[in-house]
Amino acid sequence: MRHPALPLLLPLCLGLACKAPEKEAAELDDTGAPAQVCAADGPSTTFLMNKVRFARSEGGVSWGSDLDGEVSAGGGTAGCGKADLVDPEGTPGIDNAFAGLLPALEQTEAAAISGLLQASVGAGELLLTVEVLGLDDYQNDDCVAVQFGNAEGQPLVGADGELLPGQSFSRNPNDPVTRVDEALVEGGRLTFASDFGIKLQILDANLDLDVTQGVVRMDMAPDGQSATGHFTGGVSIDYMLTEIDKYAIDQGLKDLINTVMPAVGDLKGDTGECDHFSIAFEFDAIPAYFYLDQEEAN
Amino acid sequence: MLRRLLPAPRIALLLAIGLTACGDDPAKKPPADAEDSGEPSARPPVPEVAPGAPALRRLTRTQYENALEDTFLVDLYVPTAFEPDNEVEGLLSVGASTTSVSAYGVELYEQSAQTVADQVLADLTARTSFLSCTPSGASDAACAGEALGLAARKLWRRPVTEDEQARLGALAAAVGAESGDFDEGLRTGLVAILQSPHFLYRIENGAGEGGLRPLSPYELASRLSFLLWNSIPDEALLAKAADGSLAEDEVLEAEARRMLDDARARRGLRNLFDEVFHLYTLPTLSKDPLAFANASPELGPSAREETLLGIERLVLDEDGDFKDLFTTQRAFVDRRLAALYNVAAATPDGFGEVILPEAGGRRGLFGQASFLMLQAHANSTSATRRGKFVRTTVLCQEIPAPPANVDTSIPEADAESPTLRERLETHLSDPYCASCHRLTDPIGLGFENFDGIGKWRPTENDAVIDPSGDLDGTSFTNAWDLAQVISDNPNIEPCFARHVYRYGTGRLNVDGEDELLAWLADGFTRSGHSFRELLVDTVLSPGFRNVGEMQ
Repeated sequence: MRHPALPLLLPLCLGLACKAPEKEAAELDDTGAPAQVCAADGPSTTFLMNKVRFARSEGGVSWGSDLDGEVSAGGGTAGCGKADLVDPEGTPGIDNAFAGLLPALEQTEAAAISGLLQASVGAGELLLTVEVLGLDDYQNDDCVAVQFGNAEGQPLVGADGELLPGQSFSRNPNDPVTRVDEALVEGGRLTFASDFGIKLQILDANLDLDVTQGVVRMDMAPDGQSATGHFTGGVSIDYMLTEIDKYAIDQGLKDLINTVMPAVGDLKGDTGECDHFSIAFEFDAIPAYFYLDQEEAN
Repeated sequence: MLRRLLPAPRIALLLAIGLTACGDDPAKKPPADAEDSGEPSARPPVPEVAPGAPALRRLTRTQYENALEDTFLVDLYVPTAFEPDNEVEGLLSVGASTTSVSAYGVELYEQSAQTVADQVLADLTARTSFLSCTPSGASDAACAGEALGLAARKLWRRPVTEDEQARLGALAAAVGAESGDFDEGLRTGLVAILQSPHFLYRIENGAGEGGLRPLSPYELASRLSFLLWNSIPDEALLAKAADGSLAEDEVLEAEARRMLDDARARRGLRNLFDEVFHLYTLPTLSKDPLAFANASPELGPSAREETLLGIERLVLDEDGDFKDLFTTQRAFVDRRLAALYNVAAATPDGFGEVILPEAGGRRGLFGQASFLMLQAHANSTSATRRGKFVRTTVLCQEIPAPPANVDTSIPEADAESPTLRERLETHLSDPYCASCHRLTDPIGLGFENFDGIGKWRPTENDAVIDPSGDLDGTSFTNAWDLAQVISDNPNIEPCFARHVYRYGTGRLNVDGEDELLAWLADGFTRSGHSFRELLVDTVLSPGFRNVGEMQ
């Protein structure tokens, strides 16, 4: 499914030094020929998101990205009439409708939803990786490629309870890697557009969220030994409601979701209706690797 | 004697590098017969030797287990409680000559023998490994004697006399008659064999008079198999002992080379380096998890395996230059070690080969977690321990123990002294301490970029670590450099020749063996530091094949 907000997202995205996924049409140069893609040669660095949490909103401030290219104060047609947020750096137009729903969810039997998200990381069920190819400098590099995907494996946990940095994983063969060429790193910041999947557990419901036309932003430490960031995208409200309905979870919670969810749609889907809601996650990341024998086999 | 002659051993040059250390300095002893012309000089003849007195070695626990496995062809459970092996000058094999067994220790051997005998009789493979006859009844002394005689021949590493076999058979028959169960008699006989001093001790009395008395063929076979396999001789080796041919140079060399090509040589080599590098202590090594997030019960065994796999590959698979052990960028790591080293693991399961990047600052033995973990405190590094290991274990120099009642603690870190280098200033500025600490600490500080379990750290308490220093006048900038400086040290060859010699003979070397050790070190150099050749050379040397006067 192609998100209608993509045309709006792309100019923004380019401004943030990222490119659309490979599957999008290649750009053309002045002669009409495909523009030459810079070669992202050299070392690659993989970051594993070892801490993932919902981006919360406090006083209208939340981490996230502007997915629809609109700044909405609410009430009008922009942003499906939903008020956008401002990020802690003062950037307006941040879409993160789920942040408004989260406190209500946490008043229900889904109170542990945030903890479960992190637990799925520790259990190896949610191992999101950002692989930066051709990265010569963690602070500034005008030509890198980025692959965003899921890893597989049981994480090694240190004595401090945290995932150990520098550990190795398998690539998830069932999870296509999104690749973005010609990205760049400025001031340690890497931003790129990507779809992604994320497992979300609400009580007994295990949801594989298909987050479309998302934006990932990652800030790498100068030594490359850590990174932080956030990723934001849109989720189909219909999908959520259908999936939730499949599970035998508390009826009160179902009722709440069925009542509130349709009202949080702030992104337009294929039909032009406001049938998607935005959701943003914050993350911390550590260096990680993929097994050499599997890389060689590929 | 087959030996490879490699060009230009630079002994003379290496000898020119002065060393200052307490006690013996093996590098002062090798003969400077190499020439600067680039052409290798002819190897001098084997020097005369006056070996030390015979030693009576108790089987180490590992040897005990290996002997059982090789006799009964199955992996048997041996109770964990045994009186501990003793270490002398860093080697259990030498300590085995000095340990005694208490009355309680005798009981433990008995309990173990009973447990093992039960398992042997309950396992078809183990049972048929020595029982080939069909007993005519519960008290069939002939059949029991034949079976027990076969087991005793293997376990005692020598022929069993008719009288011994008859007595074993009679013992089994008596018990079988009383119990009405042939197996019960057989069990009693096995227990007796396993408690016998002929099994538990390695008897190397030698024969004849004087200060150079040859080992008997069976004694030599046993010494050879424990050196190369850390276990009992096989039938082929016992056959060479039986026909007396093992005393011949060619036969002994051929047997040594055959045994080095056998899979059991891996076990033997592992044990040698387990002892030399004290790796056997890694599985029980405890580290403070609050200080080291990567610490885990699995890390020590992994670190041990890494080092041993590397040595196996270098020595047995490739017959490479042993000095590569100190500078190689190749490592064998599992997931946990790969995470510690911040490199990609080769494979999800087990160990795989990886190449360590130079940017990581880690290479060779001194970049391995085994060394870095062992030579450190539970919650911090120890420049003194690491430096002492290099001096004593790798260069075979002596560092006196600290005087009694001396305060060996170092100050807590503070703003004035954030890194260990500053905190050790006391050791190096106090003449009382400095006499020895100046030998150890400058080397150990070179490894300060690795924490107490071997994880890289550029800073300590937010201060940049300075790993530079010098080793006896040769400067280095960091651990990467230091690995090369140590590898180039001329003490390496005599040191490892001495380790092998002591390990093989089970005792400390004596003055009458100095020239032989220097000759072995010279051969090690000439072979391009082939550890295989060092082992073969040692086996063929008169010091290995003879014992001194009985004392």
